[in-house]
Amino acid sequence: MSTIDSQASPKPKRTVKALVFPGVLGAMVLAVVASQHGILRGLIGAAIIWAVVGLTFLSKGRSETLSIMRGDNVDERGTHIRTRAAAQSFLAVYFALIAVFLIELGRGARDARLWMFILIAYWLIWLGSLAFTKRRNS
Amino acid sequence: VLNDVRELRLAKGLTQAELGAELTVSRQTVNAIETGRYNPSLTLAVHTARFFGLLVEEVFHVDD
Repeated sequence: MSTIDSQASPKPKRTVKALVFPGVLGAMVLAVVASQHGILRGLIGAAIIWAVVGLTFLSKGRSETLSIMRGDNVDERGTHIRTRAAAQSFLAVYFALIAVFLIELGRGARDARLWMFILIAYWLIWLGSLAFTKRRNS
Repeated sequence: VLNDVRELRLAKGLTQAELGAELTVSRQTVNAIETGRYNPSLTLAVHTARFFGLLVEEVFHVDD
């Protein structure tokens, strides 16, 4: 049986100022540019999503998942988890692209060509990554 | 791969966090190794065994 010790890992160092200030400045510039082009409302939705992502990064919780995502003190197991998660995310997007491509074909192939090109590009990136990784590991 | 890390750690009176600090891995990684959810790399296995003054095969056992 496993026992999890009560002693927690040390808190990771945070660079709040380094992240928040450029973020706020960038958001202000984007807001000015967006308002000039009449797309401010669309930008607000994206800003909310980015704010949630940013807050997740800066959260003070001791969740190992968030710690691995941020890359705080990642050891070999953390690296292993990150690599597997990245591979699974890649495959999820790959299968989603195949699904979208098939749906587009079913709907009359209006945008099927575009999706086919994206799918091929994705597949080529995968092939390139496999070749690169194999070369480094052989 | 089975291992005696938990027994060896407790015999030394260490917490998972303390052993993790010695091996420069997280407490969670020590826990994952002890419970068999994670097989350490050869490097970490060697460092773990050396820390306890043992050979790798004395700490980690392949269940034949």
